[in-house]
Amino acid sequence: MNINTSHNRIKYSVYSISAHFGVILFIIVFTKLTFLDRKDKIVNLKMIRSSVRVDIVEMPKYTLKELKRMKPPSVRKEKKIVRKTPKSLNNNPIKFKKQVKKKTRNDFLSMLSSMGQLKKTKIKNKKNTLDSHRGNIKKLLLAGNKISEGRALYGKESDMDNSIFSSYISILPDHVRPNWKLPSYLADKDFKCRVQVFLKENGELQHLEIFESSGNLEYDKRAIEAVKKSSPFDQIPKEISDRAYKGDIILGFPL
Amino acid sequence: MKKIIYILLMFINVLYANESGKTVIAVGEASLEKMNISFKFSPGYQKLIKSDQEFANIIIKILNNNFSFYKKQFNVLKTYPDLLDNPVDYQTWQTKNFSYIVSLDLKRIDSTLSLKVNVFDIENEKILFSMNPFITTDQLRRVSHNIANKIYYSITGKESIFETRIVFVSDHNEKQKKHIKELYIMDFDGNNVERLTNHQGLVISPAISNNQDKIVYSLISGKNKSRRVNLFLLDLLTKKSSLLSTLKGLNTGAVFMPDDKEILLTLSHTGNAEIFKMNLSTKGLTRVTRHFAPDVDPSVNYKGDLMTFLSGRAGKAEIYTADPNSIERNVKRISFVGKFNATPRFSPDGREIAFSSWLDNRFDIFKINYDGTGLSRLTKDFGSNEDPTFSNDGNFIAFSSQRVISKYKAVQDIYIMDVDGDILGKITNNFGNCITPRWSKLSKTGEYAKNKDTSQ
Repeated sequence: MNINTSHNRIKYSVYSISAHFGVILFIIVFTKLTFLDRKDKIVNLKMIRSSVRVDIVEMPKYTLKELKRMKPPSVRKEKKIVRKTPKSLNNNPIKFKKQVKKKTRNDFLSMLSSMGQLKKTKIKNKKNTLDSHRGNIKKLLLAGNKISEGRALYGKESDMDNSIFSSYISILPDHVRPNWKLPSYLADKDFKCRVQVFLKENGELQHLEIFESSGNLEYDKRAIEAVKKSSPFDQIPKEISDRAYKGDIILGFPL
Repeated sequence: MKKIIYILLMFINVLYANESGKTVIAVGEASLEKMNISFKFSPGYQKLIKSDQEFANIIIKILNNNFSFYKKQFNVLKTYPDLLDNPVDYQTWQTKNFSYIVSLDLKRIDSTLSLKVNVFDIENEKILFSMNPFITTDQLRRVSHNIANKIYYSITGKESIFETRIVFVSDHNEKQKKHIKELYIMDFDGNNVERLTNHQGLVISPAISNNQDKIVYSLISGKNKSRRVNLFLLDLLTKKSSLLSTLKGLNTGAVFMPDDKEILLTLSHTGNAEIFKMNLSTKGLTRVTRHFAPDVDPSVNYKGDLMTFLSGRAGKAEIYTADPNSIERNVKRISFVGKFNATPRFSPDGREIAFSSWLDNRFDIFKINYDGTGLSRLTKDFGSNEDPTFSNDGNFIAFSSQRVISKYKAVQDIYIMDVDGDILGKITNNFGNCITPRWSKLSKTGEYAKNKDTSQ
């Protein structure tokens, strides 16, 4: 009996120790897990907070009608400057070319010479820019040309020509849009039409071709009408007259 | 999408891409061209007897008035001479810049009038559309609206609002009894008003079915003093009302699902206002929202897969969207501003939600995209404006507007504006306080023409 009871005691104590140990282990694992979970939660919360942005604003004070009436800050003034520049370049192109040559030479010399010389040329440039407003724009353009000529991949079509081309075509949407009208039954049908325009140097429309039809005759007709009504366009700078004449400009209605 | 592109173009001004040396430059969205249209009688008009000439004049008046609602698309012009020459001189009309001329040839055949309608496409020099309906004097207004809708469809390829009706609640002729408001229905232009209920109680939150033959509404009965707000179903063909839901508390804010077989409604029998879906034939309920905050005022999009509703779960009344076919699925908060937002209503294409919001001591109408973007204000300094409802074509919003006349008196009328906030005018006049307008979808023409005009 005694042996049995002592055997049982050992047996039960082993059970109880292992059970207690198990419970303690479980608690440790559980708390660790929950702690990890919490950590994760905090990290997640931080992530969410940083990714979710709630703009707390008031209800709009102005109506849609009032907002439409308000004109956005006019970009026109900037455009005018861009418009004027090719014209002013056209007025005395010989002078312009000479200046470019001088500048490029100076630039190469300055590249080879010491830092001091570089500083001097910079000061000279600074002095020149103070002349007048017009002169200022010219010099800014010249500075740009100085760099771009060196980077041009092709002899004829320089970046300068590209910039004149892009500045010229950038004014076309505003010129055509007032004539671009659609009746309501065509307005929201998601049609797309592209018209290739061939322009004379004075800005007159030489002829036009449908580059990409919308598939709807009426829509194409309206796009053509818009181009025809917009002729004559602004005078084309000499540098890009070839491109305009051979039909490099395609107008997208609407895109 | 188009609008976004246009705005981008406005700011960047230019968007171009190279295509094999050629450069494509985007011109941008076209402006909407107004079309000149005129309605004229053929020379046969002079042979008509005086009473028939008067009918003819009413038809022309209705057509002119209907098309003037679409003033951003049409210039309705009256030109001399009043009668149209036969055959139509297309070139003369072209020089006058007309897009369409509509000729009306009215003839009496026994007790009915035969009207031949021709729509002339001036630019393309052809007859665009013609129809030849018979008109009886008691259907004059309805047939005229039907003709106007068909003319509009032949030109634009879209349905107009001309055959739609507006359900509303008014205390007309109930001046002594303060809390009596009954249900009415009228044509979109405010004519042909018809009383639908006689409960001697307070009718609230009506909604018309998509096929226009049923109306659900709630009633705070004036007879018993219980707080119960019961839900009724009215059959527009038989003009009979039946009780639909009498659960404890609120049975209100019902709207039809796109198939008209089920309704979404607010019930509070569980102790808290929640949105449920009810099958109209079995009256079986399915829960849609489950939250300790009140959820009210559901409105469902045309597909039936998204509903917008008002909920207090943010601490104040804000607009949410959710899937109406499940419980608390895809719940998304749409509005984050506004002291008190109310009555969110989906546009027919399901892209926009119009709602009213408390601002500067009054309610005004606002709209917001279904995804919570593009919040914009539509009314301002125009009384207190509530209960917006979109027209079937999504071009117009009807709403109730309250004007305070004195300390004790205010007048509420129903107004129509376009979706840009241009107010066209009020369509109810001297008809008591008119509230909660609900715009119907387009009617089935056949069913619609069966109903006789109640007023001329």
